[in-house]
Amino acid sequence: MRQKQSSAAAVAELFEHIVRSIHTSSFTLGLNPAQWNALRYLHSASDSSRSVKAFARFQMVSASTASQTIAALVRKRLVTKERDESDGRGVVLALTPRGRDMLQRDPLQALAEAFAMLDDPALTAAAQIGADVARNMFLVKNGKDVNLSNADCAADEREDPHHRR
Amino acid sequence: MNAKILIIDDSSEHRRLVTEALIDDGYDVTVTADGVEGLTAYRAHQFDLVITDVLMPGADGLEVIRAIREAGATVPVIAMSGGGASFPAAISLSASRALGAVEVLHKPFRIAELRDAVQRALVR
Repeated sequence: MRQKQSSAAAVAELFEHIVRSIHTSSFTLGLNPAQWNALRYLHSASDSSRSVKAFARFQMVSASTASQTIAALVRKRLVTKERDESDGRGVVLALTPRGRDMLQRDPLQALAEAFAMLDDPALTAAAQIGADVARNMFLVKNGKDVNLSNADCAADEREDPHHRR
Repeated sequence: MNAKILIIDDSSEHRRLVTEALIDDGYDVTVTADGVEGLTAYRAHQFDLVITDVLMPGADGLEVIRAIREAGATVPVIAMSGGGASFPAAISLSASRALGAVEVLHKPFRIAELRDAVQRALVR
């Protein structure tokens, strides 16, 4: 058990180095990590999700934080705000050509390339481990038992009063 | 022949909206209410597309995608999530994509967006 905890701590340290490296390299080309994240979101979001409110909900950040991030991107002329033709009241966010060009230099590409160097089984394993660790991390954050199996995790979500379906 | 689509979603209201839209479009739709039921249906029949919610009690959408891919199947999967306190949509949908979902839909979405995603997934 102690051996496993020690290994887990070492793996956590390794992941922390990777995350920190990506975070540091995301302060580039005049943008910060949150702004890169917003550009990626707007690139892949559907029409109905390209709003400050949807972005805030998706990332689980406050509306004011999301609003500041988007406002910075608008000032940098990477994002535009357009009236939503479908309801006439809301505002739809869109990447400008400059915003799309910027994504060609996304610092996250370095990590994507590192994953692409893995063979197929290793890449599949990385995806599964990433999904499991992400899920376990949120269980830990919510005060659940660290050593839950996948089945237990699902059972706990069922009992979570905040669990949205 | 109409494409056969398996829908897995524990929200009855959301399940109804998605099902009605796809039946209107002429698809042959099978509906299940959780991951265990969904995987049972998946193993018993042949489907051209699977649409699954991510956060569900029992086997969740990530386990569904994983089980399908581990069986070596290449059937396209669309993942849907609104996120929750225990697992934000940003992470649940990224995990779905990493595990092999070809399209992801952030709830709530418009039916037109669902239709576009289904068409894109079926022509892959």
